[in-house]
Amino acid sequence: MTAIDHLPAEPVTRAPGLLRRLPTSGVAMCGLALILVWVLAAILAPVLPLDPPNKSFYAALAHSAPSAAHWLGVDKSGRDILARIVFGARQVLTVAPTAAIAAYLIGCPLGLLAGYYGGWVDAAISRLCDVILSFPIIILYVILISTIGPSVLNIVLAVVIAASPGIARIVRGLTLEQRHLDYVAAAQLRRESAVFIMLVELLPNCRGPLITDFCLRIGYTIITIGIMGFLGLGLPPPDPDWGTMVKEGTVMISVHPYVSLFPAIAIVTLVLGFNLLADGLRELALKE
Amino acid sequence: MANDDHIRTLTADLEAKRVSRREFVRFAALVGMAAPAAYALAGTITGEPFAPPAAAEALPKGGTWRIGTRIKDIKSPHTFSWGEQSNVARQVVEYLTMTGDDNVTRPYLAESWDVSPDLKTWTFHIRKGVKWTKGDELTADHVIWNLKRCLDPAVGSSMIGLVKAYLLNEVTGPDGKPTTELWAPNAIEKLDDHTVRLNCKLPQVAVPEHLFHYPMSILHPDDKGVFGIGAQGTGPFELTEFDLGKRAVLKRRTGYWGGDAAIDGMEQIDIGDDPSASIAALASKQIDGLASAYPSQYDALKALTHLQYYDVKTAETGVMRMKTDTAPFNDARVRKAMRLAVDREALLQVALRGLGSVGADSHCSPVLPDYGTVAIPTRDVAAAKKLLAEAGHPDGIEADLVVPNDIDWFQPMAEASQQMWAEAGIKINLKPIPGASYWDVWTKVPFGITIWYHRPLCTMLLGLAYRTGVPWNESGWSNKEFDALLTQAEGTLDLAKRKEILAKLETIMEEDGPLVQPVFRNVFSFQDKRVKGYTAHPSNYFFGWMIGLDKA
Repeated sequence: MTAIDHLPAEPVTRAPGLLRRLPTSGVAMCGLALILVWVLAAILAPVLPLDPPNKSFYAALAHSAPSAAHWLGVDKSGRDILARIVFGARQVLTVAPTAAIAAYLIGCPLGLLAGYYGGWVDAAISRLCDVILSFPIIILYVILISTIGPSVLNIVLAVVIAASPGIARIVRGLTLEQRHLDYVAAAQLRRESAVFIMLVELLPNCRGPLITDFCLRIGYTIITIGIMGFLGLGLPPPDPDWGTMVKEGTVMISVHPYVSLFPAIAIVTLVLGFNLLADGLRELALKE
Repeated sequence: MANDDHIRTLTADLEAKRVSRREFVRFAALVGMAAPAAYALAGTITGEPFAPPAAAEALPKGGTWRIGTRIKDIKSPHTFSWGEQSNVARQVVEYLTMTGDDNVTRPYLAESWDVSPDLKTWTFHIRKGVKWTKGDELTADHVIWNLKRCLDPAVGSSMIGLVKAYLLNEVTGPDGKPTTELWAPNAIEKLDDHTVRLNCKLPQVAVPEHLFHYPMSILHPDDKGVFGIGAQGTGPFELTEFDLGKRAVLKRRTGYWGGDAAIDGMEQIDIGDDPSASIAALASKQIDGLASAYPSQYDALKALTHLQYYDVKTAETGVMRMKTDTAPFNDARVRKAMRLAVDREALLQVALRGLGSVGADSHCSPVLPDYGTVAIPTRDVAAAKKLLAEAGHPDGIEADLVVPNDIDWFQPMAEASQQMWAEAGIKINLKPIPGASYWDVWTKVPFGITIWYHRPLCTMLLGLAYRTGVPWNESGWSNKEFDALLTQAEGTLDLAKRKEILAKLETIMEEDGPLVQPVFRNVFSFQDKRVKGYTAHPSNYFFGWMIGLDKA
């Protein structure tokens, strides 16, 4: 028997079966239920008995409050608020996870490289992250979107630029923690490539905290998209955007509060869903 | 003294009911009849009392009027392009004439004027005893310096667009580019220290109104066209503080020729683009009123019981204008298809909550006295598609519409129009941009929405924006027949004939013009009930000397 036979061939997973044990967490299930409501609404929006989200009902402008015809009322252009919220969920639930995944695709490799190699690679990546993170986040979004213009792609790009340094830092910390463990040494002795070690050995062992962070980050991204919409930097009109809807309603909030209130509730419930899910996952990981 | 021939013509028109009393007063005042006399004569002819706007009430003294507006750069009054700029300067520097909220033009720094029977020779009598801030008297030389400066192409004033037809010639400049110069050496002539004559090459009835165009303020020549703190003026206030984008503070000047203002001063405060911010400022009484309110603010402001509502019907509008040298808008059939595809009544409701009137793509509003009656186009999607097909676009067209986001009713108008155009196979992508950025590109973008404030005559608007080659012709549209008819209309006092010509001009705009212009908005404002003397001016102008403030 050689020395190498004493080393574990398989990495030690930190949170085995985390997702399988999800049903045991009431908090996580509450969050998941909220998310699923919105996911179902988004998927079924075209077949639900809703008005077209961009259609103006001119006759409804005179009586814009919630009514039998328009359950949540109409906005200042006479568009059905319920339809715009439901169709807006499609945008949010597409853009936010896409942006979060894209941020992870950038942030994870950077963090792995920094944590695994250390030295000047770590220093260079960490300083780059420091520079981006030193900008106030909202100002960074405003600068980015004002420069490149509001569009789905550009919002994703802005989130990636703003969020990936934070992800890189988390991954770097986890990698630093892991890289001296035996399973990494075993892989090195097996002459596995650095890329293999980082992606196949290290990254899966970081997944517990990262899954939690991913859920939280989707929530943050939803808030970010809402803020950008509120600042007039949201998705291009006329497609519904929850943040823009909140903003458009503020001018009449003293007399028609529902115009802002309902899309704000939509944002709150969806973000709450992701936060509860993240809390539940964190609890499960800690129990492990 | 008014020209008797013109007054006789107008009187005959009124007696024959070819013109309304209001139109009579407006044009009688333009040709030099004192407005009170014109009102009285109109009442006598028709046998019905016809009162001028209420005389200024005895205003309470003291206090500072705080008004929410936008504070823009004010350095160069002769090239102002925003009414808000002029609202700061107009408290300090004044105009030869003044068009009131009733659209009647009255004497101001010019105490009277005469016009020749052929409407070519206008003689302005400058008010005597008007003192500049430093004590010297306003003279004809000062007035002539200002007139010539505004008409100098190197300055770039929009006055050129207004007076080009009757005071300027088109020439080729030293750089080979077209430019303008006074049509004759004596086009602007000094008769004596208080008399200035304009010798026009063509008849023009609206000269006094042109002299109230907001860049045509009378500055002291020593200031070399630059305005700011310490600038001289003949007006009732002095500018004491100015912070771009924040506020302008004006203090009452003693010894004003028109009598000292009732208020101690005024503070114009920049309230930004956010309509909800100005609602909050009014609700918390941080400001006493708004220079102008938006349709989206109407319900919220109406609910504030300490505010008084003021409104006036106007020719203010947002034109969705197409650059006529850029495809696909270089084809008149495409432009007409764009117009046919929109439902004006629906847009009036969506964009302005009905607080306005529909337009016919000519920029000429029925509230203006020289409006020629034309039919309002009805929506016809099939006809729009047919025109597009004829223009070589059987599958429709696609274009971007640039929407400045500082005018809150533009976005709903653009969004609703987008839906309507889509039904005609016209795919329009909305490109919202900050209002400030829009003014860098307003004459360049192929398709954009531009705000145009009220002017008292259709001919003024058409001359400013659609005559070939003038500085504010943002669409680059050029139509020789239109230019010729416009010049003819400007020199026609006979109202019935003038309206006929205007109807032809409006029809040309509808068939060939560069606009989709579906609505005109009412200008309205809210002021604290303790503000006295305020009236909503159709051009969003306000005058501190008209204002008094009850004690809080």
